[in-house]
Amino acid sequence: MINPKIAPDTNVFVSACIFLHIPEPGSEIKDEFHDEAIKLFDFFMKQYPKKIGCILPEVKRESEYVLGKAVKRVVSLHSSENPILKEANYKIYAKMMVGARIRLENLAQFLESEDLDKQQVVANLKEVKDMSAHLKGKWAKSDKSDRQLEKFQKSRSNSQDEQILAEAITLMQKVERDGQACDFMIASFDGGFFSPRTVLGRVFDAVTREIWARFKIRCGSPAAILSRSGGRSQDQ
Amino acid sequence: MQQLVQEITGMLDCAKSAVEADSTILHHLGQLGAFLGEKKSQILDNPDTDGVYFYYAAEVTELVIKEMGDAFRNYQTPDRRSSIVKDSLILMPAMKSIFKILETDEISKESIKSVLSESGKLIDAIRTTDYVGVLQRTVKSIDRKQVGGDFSRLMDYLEAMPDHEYRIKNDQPQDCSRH
Repeated sequence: MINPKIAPDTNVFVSACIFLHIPEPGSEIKDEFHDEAIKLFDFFMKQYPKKIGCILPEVKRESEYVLGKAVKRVVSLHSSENPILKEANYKIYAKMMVGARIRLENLAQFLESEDLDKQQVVANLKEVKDMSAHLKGKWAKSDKSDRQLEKFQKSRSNSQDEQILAEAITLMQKVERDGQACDFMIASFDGGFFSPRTVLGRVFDAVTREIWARFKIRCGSPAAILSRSGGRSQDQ
Repeated sequence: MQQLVQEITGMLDCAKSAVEADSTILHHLGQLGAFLGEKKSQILDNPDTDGVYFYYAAEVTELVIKEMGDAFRNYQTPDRRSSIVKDSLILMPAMKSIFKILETDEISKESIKSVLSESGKLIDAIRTTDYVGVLQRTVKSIDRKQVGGDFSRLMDYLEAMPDHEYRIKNDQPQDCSRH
């Protein structure tokens, strides 16, 4: 593979940060996708000082908020009647957030962060929105069998994913303009946009195929992207 | 509260005599700490669990305020004071923003985004200073006898998060993926 360049989606970046080691089997506190996400970052670290991973501006903008929400979900906050337990819960959230926030910053150091030409991003966003309209039209007309497309069209808004894709295209164009051919990939857990959906053993990928056909960007789960780019992890 | 933070910043910046400035700084820090304690109680009384984002900001800021107060009360030499002043000034901008958000009492997507962002900036700033120890102390004030075994054990583990994860090193990125 020539010059792999991997952009983790916000959900991958955030999942990699949420982990608390507890030395009792089965007692770890972590995001449900943490193990898969962190393997991708392990790969980035092994390649350092070469930076194979990159952080897109939209991912950077959203990661703090998504992290806050994800830690809340992991800590399972509930509105306890017992004020002492509620306070303990809130303090545990604060501590988990401090740790996760520090990891977010530490992991970001292994990712390339580049300023992008905003006008170019806007131009590419228009192309991406055209693709979205095409896919929604496809769903409306006939193809209702693809479960990735089903999730894509049911989503209330794909605007953040569209922004991320537009930025990824812009970054890929920039790398190529600098004279480096690259194999650009987006790693994501989002089965309605950047990652194929597997239902009962069958893989549905109408959206990711369309992204590849139009923009030559490969999208998949972190395990699939890792496998493709020479990391040791196998597809899950 | 933002005004108090501004006044502390002004006093840290100017060349007033240490004794004169320190007593005012300590007084203001006391007021800020009291505000944060009150704010945390209000958040806990609110059934909306989205208050937890603001609690987190208040908790980290309160720990910094306490540490800052201890530092200004206990330093022994002018050099140490200079170091405390320098570190405190680094933290003031993010703290001022957090007080501004906490004073509005508004829970919305925008205010949650802001408070998480400013808390992140404060943590980043803390990691570059000698106040870094406060990041390990976010759970120590819970009364363990009252919360029971499982919670208490969990807090032990939270407190035992490795020190090396907290401080920023300038030479190279930290290996932080394997736990």
